[in-house]
Amino acid sequence: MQIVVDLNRCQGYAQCAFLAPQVFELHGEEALMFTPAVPDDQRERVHRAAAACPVQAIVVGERAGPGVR
Amino acid sequence: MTAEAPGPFRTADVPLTDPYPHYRRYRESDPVHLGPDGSWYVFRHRDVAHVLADRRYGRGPRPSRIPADCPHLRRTVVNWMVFMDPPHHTEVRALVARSFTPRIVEALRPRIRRLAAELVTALAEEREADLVDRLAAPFPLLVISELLGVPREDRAWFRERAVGLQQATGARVARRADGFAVADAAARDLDAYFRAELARRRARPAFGADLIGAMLEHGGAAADDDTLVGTCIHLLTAGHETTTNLLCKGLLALFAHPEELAALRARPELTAGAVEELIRYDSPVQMITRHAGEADRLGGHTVPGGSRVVLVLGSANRDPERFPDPDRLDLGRDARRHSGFGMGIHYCVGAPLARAEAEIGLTELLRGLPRLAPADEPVRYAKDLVFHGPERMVVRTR
Repeated sequence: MQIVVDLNRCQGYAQCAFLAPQVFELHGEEALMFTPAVPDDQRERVHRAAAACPVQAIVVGERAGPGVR
Repeated sequence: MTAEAPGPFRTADVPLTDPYPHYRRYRESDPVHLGPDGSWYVFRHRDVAHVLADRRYGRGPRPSRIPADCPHLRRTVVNWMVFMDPPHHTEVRALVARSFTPRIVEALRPRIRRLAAELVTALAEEREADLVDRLAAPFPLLVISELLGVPREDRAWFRERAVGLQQATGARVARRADGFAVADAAARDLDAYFRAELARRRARPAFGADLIGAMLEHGGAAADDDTLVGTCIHLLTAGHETTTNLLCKGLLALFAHPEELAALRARPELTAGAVEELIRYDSPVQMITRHAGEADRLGGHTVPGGSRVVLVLGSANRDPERFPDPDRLDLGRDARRHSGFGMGIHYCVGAPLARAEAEIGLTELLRGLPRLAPADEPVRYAKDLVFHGPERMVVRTR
């Protein structure tokens, strides 16, 4: 499983970092760092994080890339 | 640690000045509790987080309790993103998020500080004064006026309408027969006001580097006039009483913990972190609701699809499973995972502004009034557990 975050949408609400702290990490106010290739044991958490993003900036797919939904 | 079942939960039974021992009884004995009103009350942090991060829970059908003879109120409220579900919610939220950024808030800080300092200076001229009326209520309204580009001469008018609109909240219409009528008149005036502001900015695009201008610029498909006007009114109401309550209850918590207050006076640079703990300790919004889209297992119960679920944020923020020794105010603790701003897709869009207002407001109060203390008159709370806080709080300034 892979993820892409639209960093133009991301406003640093940190909801993903609370729900999947091993995958998403917020540095300072706005800089989001994330692990694009999601470890298997984090899949459930990442799905919850994607669902909880206020601006729906996280795209989850089996293979990430342009146009993946 | 199972305690004896405390009986049916009714919001009317919750003590307003200190609801936390009451919540605790439910959190320990029946943390997902079916109330006599048919709503499920959720008291633990982990269950609150589960509901707020799960897309099977939403806001559900649009608010139907507004009477049909309040057309202005209805038109406004259907455009409030707090009542929306995806995908419409995502469109409007993204529009606001692109405009109402942490950077806009950062740029506003000097003006926030000036407004706070002016109010503190005026307060210092009286020996005793009501903090709500003289500072905590006007301050966030002045800030949101700056943000929306409302000129100084319009602000008294603006405040009157903001207070009028508040009369439509659930707890207030239950007590005031004309609550909806007052709120509808305020909605009509504010609607006309912001429509005119949109027209002014369209005629002169350079008119204002404010939030309305930014939303017009970032527009896109979501930005029809009803959405923009409704959003302006929404930001006005959502960002107003909550901050009033945060300032008042934050100060009350500090008054009750003199060592923590002294520590903060000695090191004002700790105020930003302290604000997170103050929000956790006595959250401005105590309860929010969701609609269960389908059946779910929660706290050993089956919550049926269609249920109204009430998330008791004030209780989740005192859950020892998440916050060790939760009833202790500890300004040094890492309180960041509190649910005082909600969680998930409706996470408070104004959180950066609220944090800045509380930090600057408290700093200016403590700096400008070195002897600030509670007066003898007891604090009077508004009879409201959603927007929870004092309606009158007299302080001694010297």
